[in-house]
Amino acid sequence: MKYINDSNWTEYYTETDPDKRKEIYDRVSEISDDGANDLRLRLYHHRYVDEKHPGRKADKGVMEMMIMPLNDKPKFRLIKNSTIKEIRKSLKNLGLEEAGDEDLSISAVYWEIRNSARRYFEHCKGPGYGRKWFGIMASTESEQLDLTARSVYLMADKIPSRFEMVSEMRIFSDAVRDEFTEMSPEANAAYERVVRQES
Amino acid sequence: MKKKEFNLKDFLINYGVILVMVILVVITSIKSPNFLSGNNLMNLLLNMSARLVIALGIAGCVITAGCDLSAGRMIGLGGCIAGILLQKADYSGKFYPDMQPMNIFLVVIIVMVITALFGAVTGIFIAFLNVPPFISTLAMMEIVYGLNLIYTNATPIGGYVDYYTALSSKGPILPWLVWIAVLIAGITWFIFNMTRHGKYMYAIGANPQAAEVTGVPVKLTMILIYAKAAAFYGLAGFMLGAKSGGASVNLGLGYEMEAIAACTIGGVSVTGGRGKVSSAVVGVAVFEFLKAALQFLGVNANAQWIALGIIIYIAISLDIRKYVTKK
Repeated sequence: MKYINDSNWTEYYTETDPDKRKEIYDRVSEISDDGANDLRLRLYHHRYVDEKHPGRKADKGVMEMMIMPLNDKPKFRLIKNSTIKEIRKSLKNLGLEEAGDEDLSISAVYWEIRNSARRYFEHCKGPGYGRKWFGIMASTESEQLDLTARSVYLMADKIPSRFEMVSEMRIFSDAVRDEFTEMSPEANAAYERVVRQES
Repeated sequence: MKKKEFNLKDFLINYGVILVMVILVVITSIKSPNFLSGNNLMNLLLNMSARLVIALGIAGCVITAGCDLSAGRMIGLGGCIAGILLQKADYSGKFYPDMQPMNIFLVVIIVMVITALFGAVTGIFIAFLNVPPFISTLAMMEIVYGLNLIYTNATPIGGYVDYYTALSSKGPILPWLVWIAVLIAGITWFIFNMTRHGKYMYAIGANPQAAEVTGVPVKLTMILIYAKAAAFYGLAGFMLGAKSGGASVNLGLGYEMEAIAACTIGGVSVTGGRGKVSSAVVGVAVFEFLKAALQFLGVNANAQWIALGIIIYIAISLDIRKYVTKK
C-alpha cells in the first residue's frame, strides 16, 4: 500500500520528543492544512495524554510496541480469542480505529505509528537494552539490532499471520517494518536474516 | 506465510532438557515400577508445592532481567518465624515459653509481611541506587541469614502444633500444601496476565529505558516485584516447615538456584521480558522428576548434585541461544 507523504509534515513525524512535536504541529498547521490536521491532533492527544493521570508523562504508542511482541504465544494455548482481544486493544491504543477508509486518514495513522516505532527503536540501544545473564552483562550493538529485528518480525509478520489478522493489522505492520528497515542498511539486513530463519 | 519446517536443532534447544527428563522418567519407571506409584507421585507433588511458590516469586524477578539470590535465606527466615509462632504450648524446648500458638492464618500473614519488607528493601536498592539485582540480593541474602542467626541463636525449631504439620498430610483429595501452591499459581497468573502491574513487569523486562518514557512507574514496579517475591519465599518457608515438622536457619539453603534453573528450563528467559506461570510449573516438575528419577536409579546422593549442576549449566546456556539471532 502507498501511504501519502506530505513533506510539510516530515519534521513532525521525525521528531520523537512529545513537547517538540506539539510545537511543530502548532507551527505547521498554521501554514498547511491537507484536511488531516484535526486527526493528527486527536492522535497526538490519544497517544500522550493519560486521562486517568493527566499530569503523568505517557506514550501509549511506545508502550504497545513493547507489549505487542509478547502476543506471539497465546496466554491460553486453547483459547486464541483472549490474545486476539489483547491485540485489538493494542491496535486501538495505537489509534488504528481512526484510520477509516480514506487515504489521508490511513496515512496519518500510518505515520503516527511509524513515529511511535521510531521512538521505541531509539530506546533499543544503550547499556540497558537486551542485557544478558540476569542483567549482569550488556549486549553488543549488533546483538541489540538482532533483538530489535526479532521484535519487528514478531509484530509485523508472525503475529498477524498466526492470528489471521494480516489485513486488520496491515497499517501497523507496514509502519513498524518500514520504520525499522529504512533506519539503516544493517537494520534491513538484520530483519531479512530473521525472516529467512523463520520461514 | 509458509509453515515453518521442523528443525531438530531448534527443537532440542527448546525442549532438550524436558526430553532428557521424559527419557529418564520412562527408563526409571521401567526399571523401578514403584516410581509411578501413588505414594511416590504424592511425595513428588508435595516436594513441588513449596518449590513452585519459590519459582513463581523468582520468575517475576527473572522476567525483569534480574534474579534473587536471597530466596533461600528468606525461606529459612520464614520457616523459623512460622515455626516459633506455631510451637505446641507444652513443648519443652519452646522458643517463647509463655506464648500460646497463634492462629495459622495470622502466622502466614506475619511471615509474608516480614519477608516482603526485606524484599522491598532489596527493591529500593535496585530501583533507586541502581545496584544490580545480583549484588543487591546477594547482600540481602547475607543480612537475612545474619539476622536469622541472631534471632534464633542458630537453634533448630520444632514441636509444632498438629494443625500446622497436618497441612502436608490432610486436605480435600490432595494435601493443603498442594492447594496453597495451586492458589499461588492462580494468583500469579492473574497478576502476570490481567493486571497493569504484570504489563509493566514485562515492559521493564523487555526494555527498561523505553518503559521509562511510556509512563511506567519503573521504580515502584521493581520494588513491588521484589517484595512480592520475598513474600512468596516466606510462604514457602512456612510450607517447608509444615512438611518437615521443623526448621532451622539453613532451611531452604540453595533453593534459589534450583528455582532459577527451574524457571529457565521452563522458558523464563534470563535476558528478561519473557516467561509465564506455566514456565515455572514445567521447570519445577522437570527438576523434581529428575531428582526422583536419579534417586530411584540408585545414583549416589552426592553425585546427584553434580547432575543438577550440569542441568542448570545446560538450561541457561540453551536459553541464551534461544533468544539470540543466529547469523
